[in-house]
Order: sequence, then C-alpha cells, then structure tokens
Amino acid sequence: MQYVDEFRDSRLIKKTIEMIQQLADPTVHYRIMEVCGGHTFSIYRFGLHDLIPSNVELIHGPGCPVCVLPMGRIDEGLRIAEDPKVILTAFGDMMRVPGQTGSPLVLKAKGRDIRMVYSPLDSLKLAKEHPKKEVVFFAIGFETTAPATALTLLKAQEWGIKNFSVFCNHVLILPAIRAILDSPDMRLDGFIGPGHVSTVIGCRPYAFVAQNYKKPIVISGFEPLDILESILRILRQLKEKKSEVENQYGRVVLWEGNRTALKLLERVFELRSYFEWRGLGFIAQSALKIKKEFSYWDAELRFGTQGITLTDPKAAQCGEVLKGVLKPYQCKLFGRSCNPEHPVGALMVSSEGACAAYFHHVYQKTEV
Amino acid sequence: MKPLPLLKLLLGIDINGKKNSLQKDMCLAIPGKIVEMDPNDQTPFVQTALVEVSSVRRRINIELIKDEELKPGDWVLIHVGFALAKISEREAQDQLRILSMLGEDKQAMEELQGYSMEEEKKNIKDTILKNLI
Ligand code: SF4
Repeated sequence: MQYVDEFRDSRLIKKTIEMIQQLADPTVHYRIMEVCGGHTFSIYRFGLHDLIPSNVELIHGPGCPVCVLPMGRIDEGLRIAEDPKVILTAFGDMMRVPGQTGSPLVLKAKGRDIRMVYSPLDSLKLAKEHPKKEVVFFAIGFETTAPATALTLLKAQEWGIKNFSVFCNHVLILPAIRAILDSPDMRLDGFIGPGHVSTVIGCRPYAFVAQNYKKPIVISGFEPLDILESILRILRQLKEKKSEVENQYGRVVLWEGNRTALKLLERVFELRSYFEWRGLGFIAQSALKIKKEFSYWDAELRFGTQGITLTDPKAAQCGEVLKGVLKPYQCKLFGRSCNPEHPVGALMVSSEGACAAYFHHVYQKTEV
Repeated sequence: MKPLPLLKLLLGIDINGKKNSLQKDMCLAIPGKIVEMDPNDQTPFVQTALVEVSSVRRRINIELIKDEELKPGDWVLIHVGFALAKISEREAQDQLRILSMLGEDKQAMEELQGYSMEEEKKNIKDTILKNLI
C-alpha cells in the first residue's frame, strides 16, 4: 500500500490540529454538527473530540438510519411478520432495534420468519425461491440506500414477482437538517456534511444551508484527517464570515451526485406529506413513499398499516440526543438500564448510533 | 491517563477495538475491485460484476453507475450489494484502511459474503439467554 502514507502522516494530523487551534477564537463557543452516523463513529473511535479545542463542540446529528426510525414503524413491520406466510427481511443493523414487543431478533427466536439480508435484491431472490411465501423487505436508510430499493422494485415489476413487497421507511437527510435548523432549542455554527449520502445527491442540494440559513457546510470523508480538515474549513469560513457548501470529499463525491441513482428515485418514489422521526417528531416531506405505478409491491397497502405511533419509554432521552441537545452520557438511562446488551433506544444498537459509539469508545474505556 | 485512540495511532500502536458480533453497520460503504464484468449472467436486465474485497468475491449490481465505463481492475464503492460510485485505487486503499482501523473490515467481509446462518442462530440463542437472565 504505497498510497496510504499521506493520510497516516501524523505530522499532517498534528498540523491540522494546530491550525484548528489557531483559527478557533477562544472566546467563542463553536457548535458544529456532524450529520452522519459514520462520522460520529469515527470521531469517538479516534477520540477526535478530545484533540480539538474544548470550545469547538461536536454535536451528533440524525444521520443514523435505524436511530431515527420511530418505534411505531418497527412494530408495524413486526406486525406484518405475524402472518405465518410472511418472510420479513431486514438489514443486519435492524435486528436488535427494540420495538414495543421486542426486537426483530427476539421475535425471530419466538418463531417468526425474519431474516437478515445484505441487499434488497437478496430479498427479491428469496421471493423467487419461495413462491408460496410472501417476502416483505423492511426498507430503511437515507438516499444512500434508497436507490437500491428503487431498483429492486423495478426488477420486481419487470420480472412480475408477485409474492414480494417493500415496507418503505426511506427518509431524506435534507428535511431533517432543515428541521434541526428551524428548531428553537438548537444553535449551530456549521455542519460536517454526510459523505456517502452525497455520492447520490451531490452537493448542490445543501445550498439552502449556506444561503438561507447562512451556515457553512463541508461534505466530509471518514478519515480522521478528513474530519479534522472539514472542521478546519468550517472554522475558516466562520472567521471569514462566509457560508458556503464545500466538498472536502471530492475524491468520491461529485458535485452533481449520481444522476442514474437520482433518476431511479424519481421513477419509483414520491414524497410523503409527513413522516415521523424519532426525536424530531413529524417532518413534512421528509420520507419516500412508493409511487402508484409500483403500489402492487407496497407492503403498506398489501398488509394495511395502522399508523401506530408509540411514545418512547419516559426516561429515555433518545430524542434530545438525536437532536444534539444532550450528549449520550447525559441521558438518565445511559450505561444503567440502557447499554449495548440491553438497548432501550436504537441509538444504543447501531454502532453509528451516538450512544453506542460513546459507550464503546469512551465510556467503557474510562470505566475499567 | 490512558492514551487517546488517535494518539495511539500517532504513536503507531494498533487499535484492536472489541466489537459486538451482532452489530452491523450499513452506512459505511466498502471498496471492491472488479475482477470480471457480467460473469455468466443468465438474468436479463441485471448488470452485475464480480468484485473482490481482500480475496472474497461477490457479484454486485452495477446499474447505478452504468454510465461509467467499467472494466476489470476498476475500483467501486459498494453499498448494500450495489456499486454506488467508481473510485480511484488510492481512495479504495484509504477506505480499506479506515475500515480496518475502525475494526469494521471483518464485518464488511461477512456482509459481503452474506450472513452465515449458523452464527445467526447462535446469536439468537445468546439473546434469548440474556433476556431470560
Ligand atoms: S442511553 Fe439509551 S435511552 Fe438514553 S438516549 Fe441513548 S439510546 Fe436512548
């Protein structure tokens, strides 16, 4: 591996940290949100939050797909699996997310046919192989994953696979960012923009953050140096009183995004007028719905959903943590009744969830 | 005081994070190298390529980047069985390295191979046991 040296170069990392220290005005408290769960994970994994000046606070955003899914939707999906004819398929990180009656894994142990899949196309394959069964794919994820579901639906139509349907829970990152910017208890100075979502949507759609809300946003890679450089770029913009969309991850993210993927999304999905987000409440036009043309494969129509809304356990403060108002350890349940073995909220399940990331990389290390 | 993870990295010490085997992430994309285009593809309308990630091979869908002229030897970023973007070899190496630093590489492999049912069964048993206690 002859290429990696530049990134591993500790001098470069130290230099970036020094430059951050020089740029950050010690009299100002900066609040920078990393939108993507992958960034949260990297930050805790490498202890980046401890390397930057303490007045530069990193706030964890809503970019973890399982974390933002409200409990009602999980129960709704699990209810579909009650039908003995149904095989419910889901990504691995869904399996331990607690619904009211238990996680998919627990219900699977109780005899429901729930299976992990790596790709939505694997679910379609499963439906082909089990013509007597009804295969339902529990679709979650942001713009990164939605094109895969869209293509799978197209294939289902093309091949006329009738015993397959999708329980669609795809959400969009931009309305969530807007909701956070509009939220009265949030004061943010800038954003570290999501890397892989942006390979699909590109950089253009973030313009409203810079233009309307006057906040810098830097699309960032996942290397420690990437994240540090993005923080540096945000601080530089703030110093120069600028607010622009910058692409730090240009080696992967194109300004235009992935046109093919975007066209697919448009072909198969339309916007829901409202969708509930855990912690953020109902956000207008923030999620995707399967278009009429493909409604035959829409599990919500095939099985009928009831629009269950469930409130999280009272003491759980997932909402505040998701919005960045509280740090994971400030939740009353953190490390006590809520831990990775017995998660109360989804943020403790996915390793991209802020609570799990904090638990594994900071809390556990200091406890021992 | 214990050294911070990144400082450990700067000092050249490898990080070996413990990871719950049940945790799977879907957000991090995995880089893979194309070995063969459309190998014995019998299904019409599906464009696939055989990719290799550290000697593990899997067929992935390449329709999302069909505008790129892909050929064996090219690197792509894979997410839930789909190639999401064509990337340079350099970027691929960087990504692979960060996956291994994050302790995600083994898991990425596992995902690429598909989940092993045996392990899943064991995990379920463990979960039931834990819930009983
Ligand atoms: S510690 Fe548990 S209950 Fe509290 S915010 Fe995190 S996931 Fe939710």
